[in-house]
Amino acid sequence: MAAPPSNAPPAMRSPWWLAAALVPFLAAPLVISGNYHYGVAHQALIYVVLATGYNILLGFTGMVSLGHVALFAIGAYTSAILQTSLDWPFLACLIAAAVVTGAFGTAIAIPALRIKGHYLTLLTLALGEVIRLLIRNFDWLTHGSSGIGGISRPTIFGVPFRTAPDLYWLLLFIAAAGVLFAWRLERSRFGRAFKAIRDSEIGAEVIGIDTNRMKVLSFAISAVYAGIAGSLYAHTLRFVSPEFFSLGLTITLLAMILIGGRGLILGPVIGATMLTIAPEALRFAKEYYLIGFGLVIWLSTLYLPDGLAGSLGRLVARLRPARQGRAS
Amino acid sequence: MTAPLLDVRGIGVRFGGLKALDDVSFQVAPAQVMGLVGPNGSGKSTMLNVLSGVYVPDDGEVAFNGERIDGRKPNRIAQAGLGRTFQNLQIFQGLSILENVLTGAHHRQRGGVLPTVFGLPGARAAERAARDEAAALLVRVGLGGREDDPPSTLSYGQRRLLEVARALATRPRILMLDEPCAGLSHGEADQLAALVREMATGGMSVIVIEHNMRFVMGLVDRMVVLNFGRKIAEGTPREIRDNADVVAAYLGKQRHAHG
Ligand SMILES: Nc1ncnc2c1ncn2[C@@H]1O[C@H](COP(=O)(O)OP(=O)(O)O)[C@@H](O)[C@H]1O
Ligand SMILES: [Mg+2]
Repeated sequence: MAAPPSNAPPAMRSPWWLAAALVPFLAAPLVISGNYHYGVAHQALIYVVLATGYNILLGFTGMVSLGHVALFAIGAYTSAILQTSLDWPFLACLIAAAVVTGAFGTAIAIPALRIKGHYLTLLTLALGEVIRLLIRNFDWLTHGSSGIGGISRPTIFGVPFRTAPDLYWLLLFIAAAGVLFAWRLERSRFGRAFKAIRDSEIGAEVIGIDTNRMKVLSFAISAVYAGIAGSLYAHTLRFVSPEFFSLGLTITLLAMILIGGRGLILGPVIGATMLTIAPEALRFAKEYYLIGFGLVIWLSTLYLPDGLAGSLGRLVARLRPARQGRAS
Repeated sequence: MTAPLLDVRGIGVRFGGLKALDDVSFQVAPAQVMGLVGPNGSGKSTMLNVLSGVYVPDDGEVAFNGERIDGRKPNRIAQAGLGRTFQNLQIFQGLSILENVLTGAHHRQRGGVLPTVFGLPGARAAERAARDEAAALLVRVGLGGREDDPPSTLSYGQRRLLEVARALATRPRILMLDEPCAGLSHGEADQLAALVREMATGGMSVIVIEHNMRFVMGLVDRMVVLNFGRKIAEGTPREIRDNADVVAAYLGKQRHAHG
């Protein structure tokens, strides 16, 4: 996939953007009510976590893996199994899901180092499908295609997050922490090394960056996000089944990054939120929704090469020429 | 001659049937400025790719500071102390100008992901030191004040200078520049020559590949001349100017270029 190097407009780099992005999420409980609306909001926050992690791999490091949803599934199942069979508390399940998924992500990354470009994409696609088949066939552990139900909502040190609004605040806290972590990572030597590999792998090598190590690290970090998102998914929906982690979800996840803006911190936040809410809001349109979805992806790759977040940043930069202007 | 810092012995590189390099040997002493010249396609960039680990040579060996480095991975060679720039630029377009230079400090910065992301004092101090050093390097190559701009706002020649700053950020003992003057104005080229001299005075060795004879002759201590992958001459600029083989190789080439 030709990567248009996403060049964050300087305006996008200010921490005020993060604060501004938080405002609608803080205000949302004022306007939403009822379990259905909250259910959509919960999913949006879970996808913010998943997409933010995926963006580290796809947007920063430039590695197109299509096996990410399988990692999400591993996180969800780890949490679901530990809770329903061993009665582990939520926080222990969450940490175990992060660790197990991180280990899987690292294991996938090592063979992936030997191959590049389209072959990597194909390999990860195949790996993802294999993991989904394994989940379906390990009946004794996963209950096969009937899935695992009866997972309980989170309780942390005796504090329950059972009601929809309470759970919303917990998910928002975790999602905000995840976005903040990615934002700090982007500005660190690791974020620079990831983008250096994306923009010129040979250039990165000859200035001393261990590109293999950085690629594995990028895979591992994005897998930890997927594990956490999976665990949150299991404890929020209270039910997991293999059908949910389909190729369709892989495409949706990819679209969240591309429409939101890859390589930009707010890209996956905007993309995940929009693509979770839109199908619900446009439910009346039924099958026409998919056509519209396809059109939007197509148009946005044509007209918004760095996604909605990038366009927004450039728009603001243009509105404030005095601060950007610098003779060159 | 003092013990060589770089000892290149009998290097051969083949691309299919083409011998891009054939039994080329030379040495570089500490603080020496070495010119690597020759007509287009004579194997200069190939030699730089061998020295920086991008290519593994088919024959011969390369010793740096008494240790063999041929066959090592490029990042290990960079960490050992060989820095380079590219003839066809390899700038990181998605990073700011300062961040491009900072990537050269990556391998020296310690601290894992968590201490770095959580901003623990050690990691924070290391980052601040690296930023100060990178900013100072930008000033040295004449790009001070452009830290936060994207590299796309630089002219072609300025991007070459950015690559020089990035290579210097790795703190090399030998700096290798592949046609650094292409795209530079006369003023910028003179500025770069002054910088190279200054580096050599500070003890750094420099290998310069350059087409621009005026630039090379005035800058280097010694030069190696390649033609069709073979070394045809080596010596001081004065010796090379009077060498009949070199004149023939160059004039032949130039006639082609003009005709
Ligand atoms: N990767 C490669 N594959 C095949 N041929 C190459 C490759 N790199 C260089 N060559 C050939 O090797 C010869 C030397 O090239 P190069 O080292 O780039 O010359 P110079 O830098 O002196 O102009 C040329 O004939 C070139 O076409
Ligand atoms: Mg060349």
